[in-house]
Amino acid sequence: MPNAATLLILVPLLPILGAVVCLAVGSRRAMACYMAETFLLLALAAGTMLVWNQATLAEHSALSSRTPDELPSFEISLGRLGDRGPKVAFSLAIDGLNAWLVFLTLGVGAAVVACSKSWVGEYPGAAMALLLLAIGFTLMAFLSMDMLVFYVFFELTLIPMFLLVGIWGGPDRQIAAQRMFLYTLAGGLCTLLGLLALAVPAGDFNWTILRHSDSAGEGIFSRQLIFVLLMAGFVVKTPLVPFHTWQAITYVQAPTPVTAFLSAVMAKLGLYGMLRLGVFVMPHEMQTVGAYLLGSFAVASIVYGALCAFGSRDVKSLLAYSSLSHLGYVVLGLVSLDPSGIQGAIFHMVAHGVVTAGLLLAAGMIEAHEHTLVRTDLKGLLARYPAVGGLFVFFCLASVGVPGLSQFVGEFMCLFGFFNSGVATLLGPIAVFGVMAGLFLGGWYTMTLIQESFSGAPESDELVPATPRQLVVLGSLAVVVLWLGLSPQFVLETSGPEIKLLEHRHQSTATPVASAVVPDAGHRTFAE
Amino acid sequence: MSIQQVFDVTGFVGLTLRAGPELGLLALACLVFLGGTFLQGRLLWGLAGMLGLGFAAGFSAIQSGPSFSPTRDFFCFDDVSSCVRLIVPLLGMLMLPILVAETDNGRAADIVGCTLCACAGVSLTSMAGDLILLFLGLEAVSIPTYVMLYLARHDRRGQEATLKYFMLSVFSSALFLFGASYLYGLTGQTRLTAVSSNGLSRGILELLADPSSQRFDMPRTLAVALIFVVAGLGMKITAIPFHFYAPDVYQGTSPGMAGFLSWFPKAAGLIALVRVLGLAHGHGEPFGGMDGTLIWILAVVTMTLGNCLAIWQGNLRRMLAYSGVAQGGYMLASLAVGPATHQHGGGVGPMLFYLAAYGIMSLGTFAIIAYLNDPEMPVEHIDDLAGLGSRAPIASWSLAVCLLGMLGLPLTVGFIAKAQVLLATLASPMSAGSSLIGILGLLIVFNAAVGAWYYLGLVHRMFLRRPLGPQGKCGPSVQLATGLVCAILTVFLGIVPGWLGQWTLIRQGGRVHAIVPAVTMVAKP
Repeated sequence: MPNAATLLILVPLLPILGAVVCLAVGSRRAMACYMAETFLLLALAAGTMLVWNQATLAEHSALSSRTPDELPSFEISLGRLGDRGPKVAFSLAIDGLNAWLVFLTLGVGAAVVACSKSWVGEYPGAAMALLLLAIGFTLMAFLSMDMLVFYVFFELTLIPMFLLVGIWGGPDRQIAAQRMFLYTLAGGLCTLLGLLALAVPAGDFNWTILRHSDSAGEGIFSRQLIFVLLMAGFVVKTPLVPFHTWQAITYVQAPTPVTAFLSAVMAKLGLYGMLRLGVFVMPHEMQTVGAYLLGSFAVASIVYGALCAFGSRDVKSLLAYSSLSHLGYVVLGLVSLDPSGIQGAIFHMVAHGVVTAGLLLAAGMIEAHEHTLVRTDLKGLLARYPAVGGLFVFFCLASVGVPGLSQFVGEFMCLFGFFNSGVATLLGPIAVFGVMAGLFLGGWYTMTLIQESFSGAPESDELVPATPRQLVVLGSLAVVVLWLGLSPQFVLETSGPEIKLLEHRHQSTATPVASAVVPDAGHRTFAE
Repeated sequence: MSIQQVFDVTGFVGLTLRAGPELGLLALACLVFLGGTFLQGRLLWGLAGMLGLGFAAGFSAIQSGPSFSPTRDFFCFDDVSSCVRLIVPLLGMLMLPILVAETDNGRAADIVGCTLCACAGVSLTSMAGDLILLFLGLEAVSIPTYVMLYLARHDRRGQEATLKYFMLSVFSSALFLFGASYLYGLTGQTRLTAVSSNGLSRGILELLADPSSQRFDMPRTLAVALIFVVAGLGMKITAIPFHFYAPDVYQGTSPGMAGFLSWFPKAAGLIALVRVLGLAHGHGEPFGGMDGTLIWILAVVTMTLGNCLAIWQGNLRRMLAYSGVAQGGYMLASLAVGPATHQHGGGVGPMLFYLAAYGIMSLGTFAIIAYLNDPEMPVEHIDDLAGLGSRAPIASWSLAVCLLGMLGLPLTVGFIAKAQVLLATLASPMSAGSSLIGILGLLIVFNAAVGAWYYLGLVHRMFLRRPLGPQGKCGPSVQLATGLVCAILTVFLGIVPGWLGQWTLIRQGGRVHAIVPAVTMVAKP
């Protein structure tokens, strides 16, 4: 197989190259979609190889002495930012934290592109190119070990999304695009300031060095302030209540496959930032500040999202709010700082991504035919769309958390961490009640949707058969949902080495060790 | 004898050689003014100007080579001057095509001559080690600007703008001279080294130690001097509350000329501020800490009000005037961090980087606006840009890149510039004023978020809206080419900032020859 460094740079570069090709193809719709899909499938193949290797490696060497610093990586040093500023490097690596998110991005990306023939309109080449750029930038962000480069691509994903929503969206697309861009940018700028403040004493933007540097008392900002600034961008991007006001309008106005990408993948960028920079770089602040702040935002999101989903008129806005509610559980898992909570959070990110992508893509297929997603206009869909409707119901069940399907494991582990770590006691009984009510309401609104719109007698007898392409896309997502639900261990194990590192750090902060050892990039390949 | 040794010749010849680029530009300007009375032609004088500026840039680059040794006397040759003397002719080369393309053959020579004078003026300001030379440099920027404003537009609006600029600029010169006379009175010298390094601080200390001395009420006199000098320079920087002329003048003049105003006087003012406050080499605190606080207040007010006022503007050039005010605020914020010391790099280097970056992005923006401006159907209102994305894709993408750069989006030079300013605030050492500096960092971020509103509004109009009415013709393609070059530079320097970064390194003492990002591949197998 090709070596790891080549694969690492190929995975995010292939979609970006594909974007250039799509732009060149221009107005030929079939050609643009075909090229986009080809490039993404190539990237998916390369990514699968990479992720699979990483996962098997983690599974087998869980007991060996592998440290996360011995990672396959691709690195170009970019010197320092400013005079005597922190070092910057374009360095890509795959570890237990990002492996499955890369897989999710590629898988959902390929599914979204496969379902995108219907909305691209007059400029298919440009639409496909922007979608591929968004995918490529997201991959770059996930793979970057240098946190400044992570931030750069985190922000850059906004440009393709702004244009995709603003040009191809629904009637209120311009407001939606502008609101998404400005909200996320404002949060992101706070993150930039926090990141710079974090990197100045460390002298490097590299994640490993940031994680080991202990800069308490240095610099002009306190660690708590840095933590709050860092998290600001991530709570807007995810989003969490009360920073969610851009979400519903954007999700409803965007073309449905783009919404699927936004919800399944882009929202994870924010959670991933909390995981990598919050949990791993600033665990102490995560415990002291994050548990209160992010914890209460998460509980608010769970309850508020569920209530709004209950009351929404539109299937897309229902799914947007349900996504808001479900991602609250991930945040609870993260703030718990409990090994199973964090593992569960990573798992839940992937599981939620696959399920949401399935739901939104299926909804998009129905919308393409019905030209509406208003709930009162949809009746008896199961009878008219046997395959697509059936799979939609299947994804609904997964979303509710039926055991044996993917979301059950993630939600269960997140909640286990939440209760096990004492964050639940910290936030009090009202929060616990809220979390439980959210679970209950989640079941209720989803079942109501199925009952109202899917079961029952259809208004017309027209049967709409699914195309093979639709079956392949939704079927493979359903297979992944089943696989994640039935054997979650393989995915959970991948983050094992990193989680162990966190426990180790906990112990070492309890008994302070003066010299934080910075391993000098002892990178290693699979082949060795 | 190496090239460097040529410049080490002392005396009049040596000085003439070292100040060669500026003297050359001024001499060329005289030639162009004179020649313009015999020969007319945009191409001829435009090319002559470009060649002159190119030579000046090359000459400056050779001078500040490896064995460059800083000197501070009547002329200062140090990091700041070698940076500015390289950036100014290069930005002049971006400016000249825009200006020449919007004039007719008859006035081209005058426009070129004035631009060369102004470039030489900014360079001279950066070299000034003496209040007299500083004033000469500033006037060498101001006087050509009056002429250019008059030449650019002849209608009522243009006349009003010219008059307004002339009156206020003369007033600001007077304010500066008033403050400078106090500085002379306090030190007995016009040398800036006397002001910044030892003269004033030591004078204050001596007076404080000796209460019987009641010759002057020294600290108050010093405050008067400081405030008047900063006010005089604040007009050039368009710092709030000295910004009032900017929106009217930008609106009243031609787009290219507005582009000129957005950078050259501002650069002169900021560099003069660096010189007067002694920020270039950082010996003590010439104004006993008062200057830092004053610049802090000026920076905060300028960027916050500039951004907030820009949101409400409907006229494109008015909006860009306020955007320029706000951008000036970021540069002032960088100066508020203070000079380079042994512990940290200080704010002057990031300010110079920001200045160069802003120059590229701003000239790019105005180049495209000049290109789109049809005299029959001028691009006045921001809604005139609606639907541009489909009508003129190259122009609109170039404009979008420049605007997103000023917004500070990653992969543009604007992002690197903002990050460096933020870094300078964050890396400043812990001291009594460091909480103020911390607040400055937060305010820069707040302002960048506010600024995103109006920059994105323009991008939004270009790409997401449909045209509102009939569209005018586009202008000369040399302006489009200039805009495109600026956009490419914006992205290129955003990815490889080292090329610009190495020139804006300011260290305590002399130049340090670390080329910032030596890009090295260490792809692990």
